[in-house]
Amino acid sequence: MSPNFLLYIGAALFSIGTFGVLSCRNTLILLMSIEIMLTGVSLSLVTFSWIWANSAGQIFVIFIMAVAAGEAAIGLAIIMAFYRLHKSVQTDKAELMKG
Amino acid sequence: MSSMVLDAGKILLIFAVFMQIPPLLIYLERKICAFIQDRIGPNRVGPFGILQPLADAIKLITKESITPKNVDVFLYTVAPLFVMVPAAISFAVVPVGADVKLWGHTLQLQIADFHVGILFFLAITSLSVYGLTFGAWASNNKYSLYGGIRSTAQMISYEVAMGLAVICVLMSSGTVYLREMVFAQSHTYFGFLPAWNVFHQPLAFVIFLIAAFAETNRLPFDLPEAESELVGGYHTEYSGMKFAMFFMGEYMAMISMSAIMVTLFFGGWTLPGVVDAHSTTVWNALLSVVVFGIKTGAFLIFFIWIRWTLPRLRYDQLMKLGWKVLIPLALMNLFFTAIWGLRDQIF
Amino acid sequence: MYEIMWLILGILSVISAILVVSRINPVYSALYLMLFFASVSGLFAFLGASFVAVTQLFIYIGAIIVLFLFVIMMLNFEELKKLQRPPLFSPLKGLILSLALFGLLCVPIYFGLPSAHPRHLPADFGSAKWIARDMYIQYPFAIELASVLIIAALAGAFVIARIGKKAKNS
Repeated sequence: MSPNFLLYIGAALFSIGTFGVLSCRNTLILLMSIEIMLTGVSLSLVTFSWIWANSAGQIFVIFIMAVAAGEAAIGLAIIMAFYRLHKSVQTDKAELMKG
Repeated sequence: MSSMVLDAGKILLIFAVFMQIPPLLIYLERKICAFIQDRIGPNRVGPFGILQPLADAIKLITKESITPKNVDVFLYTVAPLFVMVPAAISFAVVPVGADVKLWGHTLQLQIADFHVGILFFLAITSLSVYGLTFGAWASNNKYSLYGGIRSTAQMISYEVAMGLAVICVLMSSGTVYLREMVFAQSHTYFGFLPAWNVFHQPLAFVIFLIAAFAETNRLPFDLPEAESELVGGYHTEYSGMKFAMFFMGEYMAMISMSAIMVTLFFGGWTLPGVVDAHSTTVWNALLSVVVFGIKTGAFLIFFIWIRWTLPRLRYDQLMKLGWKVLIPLALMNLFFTAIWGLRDQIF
Repeated sequence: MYEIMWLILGILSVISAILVVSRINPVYSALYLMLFFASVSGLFAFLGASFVAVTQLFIYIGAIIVLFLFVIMMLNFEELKKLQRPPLFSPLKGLILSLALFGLLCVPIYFGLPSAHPRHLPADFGSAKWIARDMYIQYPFAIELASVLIIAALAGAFVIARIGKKAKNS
């Protein structure tokens, strides 16, 4: 089996994450879907790193992890603040900007 | 082929011994607790009550396995596994003895020497928090839920300090392989002082020790179960064999943590003048395993001693200690270790 | 041997990812997210990237999902259980869009890449030393940026959480 299989898996994970972001009403699962998308990209990068015997792919994955950790912390802080304001974590409750 | 058989035998032997220690430790804990509180302790089953763990085990196995009514059955059942399995797996990277030559094969007394060594240990031990959290959430009990919330916050806070302490050790020893780390500590200074990392990194050792108590949920950091505040904390609703698995998991985590502390800071299985690090005789290997066992046992007794001596911290004190004392200290230690490592370039 | 593990772990990761986005109860989502990260970490390990695999375990499973669980438990979980699928944007539309995206992503993989054969891998491929050597020599500026980013995230999370608290008290 060629490593292209893993690239397809990475693409599939990215699409599943997109589906989660598009169709989940719960902000917690929405954040988890973003993590899935990032991990799909990571998987493709590590596969490229293995194909070309190059370290750049793995180094990028480490940077992605730094970004993902920061993003999760900020995202969860926003969810906490949002919950305190609206007593809910559903996305359609975020309508303060609506005219 | 025969080397594979030897490897399989080694893995079986190490895990078989590893699984036998928790009951022994529970007996020891009860005896030492009794000694500290000026009591006699278990003395009915067998001479000096030495068969007490066996009686406990039979009791726990034959007890009815109760699943309360409104629990989330799937998570309630798998949660104890999440505590026990990571504690057992994390022991795999610990080198327990010197290399030994058997029937022409050189055998390393370590189950696996990964490319990543100590990082694997940190990653796997961080999984054990899921057992507490899922068990607490699935129990559908407010006291359990408090225990779960406490354990998540506590684990995240102390894992950072523990990771930073380990990074200091990695920087001063220049390797992530636990095997190389043990060999690096096998020589002596001035002919008598062993070259243990605890003398290079005393502050890192203290931070790691405190974080290890928090990671294994032992007193003074057993806030997730805090029996005087939260009934039984995360295992309030558990009984029988499931409770026994939580209990065993805690003791196995304690053993793994003690073993890794010995390996990182106290020279692992080496002891200058007693064990020759580069010999491969059977006698030397046996001696090294005994040395390793004694060092680990000393840490385990230290764990028990602390438990029955110190009172429990309040939760805000726990958080303050983690974020305002341990992490800044660990960062400072990291900074000075880095300066010491680059002293030739800087000065 | 490696190919079989790729197959098993790859399929496991896709299944668990689907389970994450299709659960109503976020605690189960977190459980399957953990399975997902564990299987991806296994894939990394079988691609020889052992350092990245362990970092993945350590950061995602050891920290990020624990953070998720902390927030889930802090919130009122009775309400979380009742959440329904949104009427605003139907799952069917989302499904069609994401399938289209998948098709789009597959085109360059199918046509663009000749079935690549692995080069000769160095002996310490994926170890901490090998990554660190390249990372600190080639990307020092990116490391500085990442550290600034993390400090900003730390401060930002703190400030945002406090803003919510102030609004509640007033």
